[in-house]
Amino acid sequence: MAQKHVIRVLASEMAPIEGVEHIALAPWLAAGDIVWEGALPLCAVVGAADAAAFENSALARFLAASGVEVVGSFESALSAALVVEKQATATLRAESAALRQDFMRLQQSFAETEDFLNAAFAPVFTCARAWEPTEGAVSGAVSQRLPVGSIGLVAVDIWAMGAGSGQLRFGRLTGPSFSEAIALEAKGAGWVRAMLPTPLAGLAEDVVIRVEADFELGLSLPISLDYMHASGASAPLALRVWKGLPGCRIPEMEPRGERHVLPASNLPAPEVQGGTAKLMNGRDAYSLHPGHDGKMDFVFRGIEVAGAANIAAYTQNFGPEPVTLSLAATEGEVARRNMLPPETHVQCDLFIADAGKVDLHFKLRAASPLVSVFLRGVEIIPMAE
Amino acid sequence: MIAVVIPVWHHPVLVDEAVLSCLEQVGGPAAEIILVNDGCDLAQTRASLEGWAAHPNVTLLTQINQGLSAARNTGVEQALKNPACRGVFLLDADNMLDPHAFQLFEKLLDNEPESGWFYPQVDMFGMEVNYSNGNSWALSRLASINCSDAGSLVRREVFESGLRFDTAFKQGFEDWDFWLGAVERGFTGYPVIESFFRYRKRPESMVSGANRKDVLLRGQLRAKHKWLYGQSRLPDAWNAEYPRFCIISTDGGIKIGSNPATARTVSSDEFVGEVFHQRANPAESRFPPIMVFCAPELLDGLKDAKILDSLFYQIEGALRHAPVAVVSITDGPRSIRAHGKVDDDGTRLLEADIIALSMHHLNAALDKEDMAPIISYLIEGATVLPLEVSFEAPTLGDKPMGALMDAVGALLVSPMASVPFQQYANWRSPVFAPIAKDVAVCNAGGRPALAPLGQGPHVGFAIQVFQFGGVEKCLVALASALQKQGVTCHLFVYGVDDINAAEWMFEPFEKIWILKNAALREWGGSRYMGTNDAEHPGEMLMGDMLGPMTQMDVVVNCGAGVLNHELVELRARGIKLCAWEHITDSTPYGRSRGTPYITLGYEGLFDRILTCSQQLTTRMAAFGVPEAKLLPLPNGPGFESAVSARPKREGPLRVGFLGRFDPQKKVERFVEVAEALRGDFEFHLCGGEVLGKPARIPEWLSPQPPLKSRAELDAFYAAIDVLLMPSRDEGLPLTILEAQRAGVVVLATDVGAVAEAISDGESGILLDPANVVPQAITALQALDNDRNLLAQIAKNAAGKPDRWQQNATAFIKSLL
Repeated sequence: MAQKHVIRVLASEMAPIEGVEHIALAPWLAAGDIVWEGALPLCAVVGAADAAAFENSALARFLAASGVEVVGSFESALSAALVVEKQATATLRAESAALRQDFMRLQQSFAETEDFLNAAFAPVFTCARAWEPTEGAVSGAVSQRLPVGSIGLVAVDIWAMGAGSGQLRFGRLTGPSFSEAIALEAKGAGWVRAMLPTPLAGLAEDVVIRVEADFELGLSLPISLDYMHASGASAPLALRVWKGLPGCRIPEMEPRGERHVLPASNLPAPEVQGGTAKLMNGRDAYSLHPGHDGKMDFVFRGIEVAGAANIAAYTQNFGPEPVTLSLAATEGEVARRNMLPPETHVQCDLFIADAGKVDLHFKLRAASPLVSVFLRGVEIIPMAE
Repeated sequence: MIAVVIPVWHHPVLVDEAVLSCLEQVGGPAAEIILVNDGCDLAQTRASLEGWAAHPNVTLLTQINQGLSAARNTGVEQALKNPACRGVFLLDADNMLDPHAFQLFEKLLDNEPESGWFYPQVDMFGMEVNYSNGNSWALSRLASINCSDAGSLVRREVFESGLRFDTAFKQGFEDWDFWLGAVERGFTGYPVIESFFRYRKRPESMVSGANRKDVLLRGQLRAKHKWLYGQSRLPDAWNAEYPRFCIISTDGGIKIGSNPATARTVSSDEFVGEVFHQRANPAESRFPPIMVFCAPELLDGLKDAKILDSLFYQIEGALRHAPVAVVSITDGPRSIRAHGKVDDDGTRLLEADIIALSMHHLNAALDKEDMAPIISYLIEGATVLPLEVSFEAPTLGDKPMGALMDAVGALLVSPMASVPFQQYANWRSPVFAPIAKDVAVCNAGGRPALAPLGQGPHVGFAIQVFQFGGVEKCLVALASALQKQGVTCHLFVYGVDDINAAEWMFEPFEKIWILKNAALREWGGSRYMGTNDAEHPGEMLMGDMLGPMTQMDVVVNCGAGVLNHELVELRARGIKLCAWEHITDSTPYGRSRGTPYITLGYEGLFDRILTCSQQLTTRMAAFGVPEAKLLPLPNGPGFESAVSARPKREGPLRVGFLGRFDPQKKVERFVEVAEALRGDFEFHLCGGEVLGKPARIPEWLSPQPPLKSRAELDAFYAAIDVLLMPSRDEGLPLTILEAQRAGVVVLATDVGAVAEAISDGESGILLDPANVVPQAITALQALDNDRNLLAQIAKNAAGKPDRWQQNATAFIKSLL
């Protein structure tokens, strides 16, 4: 990169100093409104012959306003500038050190938060938007603007109309992509997930997904917002958009086989007796309220388990009173009873020995109906058989 | 290539991020980064900038501190020196660009040639928040709020048009002023939908300061950009960009627009789509806030009666008070009346002839998702403001409740009904969308600015009572003459009395605006020169009055004193104002009073004061009105007639009286004359009680009721030879002029400007105000005895030229 002169001297006479650009004073003495291009002179050396003209000139006012010293010699100006530069360098080093310390503290806190989230209750996945599939489909290279900002974006599910493979990128409308191509593998009609290694962090941006696949992509219901339509279609792609904690590594969300999470929005609708269970879309959690007697039974039917596994239900008690929540695979049975102290997150576990579809029966018991419990989802953790 | 201009003052460290964000761009065109040190007094700034100046793509300029505008201008001048520079991005020293911004700039400059500048979404960091820029261009939005951040890319041509940042805006809003200047020069902005610019929001940013000075700075903007705020440009833009009504007919037709007569037709699919958009992103939607359901033939009838716009304006006003307005139509003289208060009788919807809903109400109902609960909510969940409208022979058509149910049905059966609209909400916070009150700040009186009118000029006449009176006939005659000379006239009847006028009196008017409210006829205000002023009717009602008048080029106030209080609002918009004066009245004690005195109190507001006679002109001038401001429009006959001078006839002389039976017209003098000459003459008395103590009329005179049509007047004049007008006070009465035209000899008291119409002994006979009855008896006997004299005087008086065409010409020359 070609560097331009950074040390300049404005002077009545030539200054024979190597590496210093000399600018003649005389032409500037007659100038009116001054706009100075480039670095300001380190100093102005005004000779006796120019002193009178300089005194009331626009140049004199400009230099005074700009902090350019008018001095008697180059040497004294250079010496003073050197001191200033050294002080500035020391200041910058101190500022950098402070930033490094802040960064380390931030990292430490972040790591603690990550551990806490993993150990205490669960990484939170939120289904930020869900557009259900219909009969329509589109094929080829398809782009789709997402209805969410980039912060925390971790995965999208698209609807495959049949088996096949392809790839998906999280990108910008203009400019570089957020991610490398993510491979897609569809085993048949159903949701196919493309997941980033970590949720996107930084400043919020618009996001578009670009899909190339040899299977057809399912469309959602038509809407009138043209800019939300998939390219080449008159409806948006069927889509589920997932968000997590920006920058946190999170467990896999694969729906089968491996350890995976079923957020509330992915659970089947519960059958409820003696209370209400309402899915809070914005929080991706079921809000549970018992009946007037403080009791509530509910069941999620047909949770698929590939083999022996521990099922962990992630709950949060908002109220000031303790709540008891028991979990069983058979109606009427009480396999595990968990106490949910006030204002805590609690993981409720249930061991399942065999593969198959499991019904998760919950019994919530409280001293009064005035309690509020969130069920954020369940995690299927495969166990050695 | 492009240029980025970064003015710097007191951001010696943060500017590093700004510059770095420019130098670390990925792809895109070449760029010159122009740093303008605006005389920053911090040595650190100088050191920082001189460091960056070493980069070959960076130019550093330094000047004595002159403020942000001047610094930007300095940078722009530098940028324009390079002929290859296609556009300038304005980057403040504490803000940043995303790494792909330059790529985007090139794309925008290539693909959007019609746009003058490109403005970002409001993506803030520091105080983190993301606002949508609206995703579509709207001048009315820019006029209401500075939705275009200074961090915009400006095409070279905008600067080449001579536009620069105004250094007078030192407290902020200099960028807003710049964008408005660009629009004035014919450029439009382009809201960029994707992120590329980061605004560092700090509690103490310059804009925060500007917000605190909002009122002052907005005033500065408005004063400078009168082309937008002072005339019809902003209302025109707002009405086009944000249509106010969705009109659904009982025949299934759907129209959207601000003017019911010219609204555009939309398909059912478009309607459903727009409703969906409005529910998903209300701040970005242009769907109207009001839905009106009615039969098409009823709309046609209202249009033919010229009160369609007035009714819609009142519907809009009614929805300030309740989410639903229902209109019932009856047969009768033109009238629009709003009930004073709302009720919760939603069953009114079932019988209404017109239903108007706010979209808030419909949206709340649509949340119920199924037909039955939706309709139930629409009816039971509504508070309702009833409006009563009448006009002659209305064709009502089907009741609109069915159309409302059909519309709801169309929304429910659409596939979009199954889509949770919340799933499509913009992830950025909603942008501000200009609503009526924002635009109305520039309009008069806090009511929505109306849809643009067609070719003008447009003259509005405001009057409190519109019946078959003299002032009304003058108004109609002038409007008719103006119409013939290419002027479009509008009638504003703002009062409490029923309109009771023949259909021909409405002919010269394009539209009729009616506002009926008791507060519009209260003359209990403070006294000026011995005459009570009208009372101020309150801000809301005043807004209702002034709003439609903002469409006029000239407003003529024909005695609607209540208007005077806020006419200044119209004047501020460049609308010319006139008062039209006809007569001063007398109190029972003989003291002169009347609206001319009130007009003197507001003289400074008026461009012209119109007078009906030379006598009143002289009087107004004597009271201090500059002569140049006075425009005499001498009265002529108040209607056109085929009747002219009649042949000489024998038989008893027929003497008539035409007018109110009140102290001013002095009908008792006529009675006295009639009693004296009873038997030898025929007497025809026509009129009725209006004000004051009832006059004693002997039975044998058998008075006719007041006349209400041209034909009745013609018949009356044809039935008399002499008109006796023994009035106490007069201006220049139309009755004299109309009688003269019909070949009737007029005997009138020599008061007011009567002498301007009657040359004594030649074109009529003047009676001494102190000796009216004896002189009238003598004169009548003389005329009875000398029928040649009678015929000669009648002939002299008839055949005058059409005063109203001359008056219209003078009006146009003086005001348009």
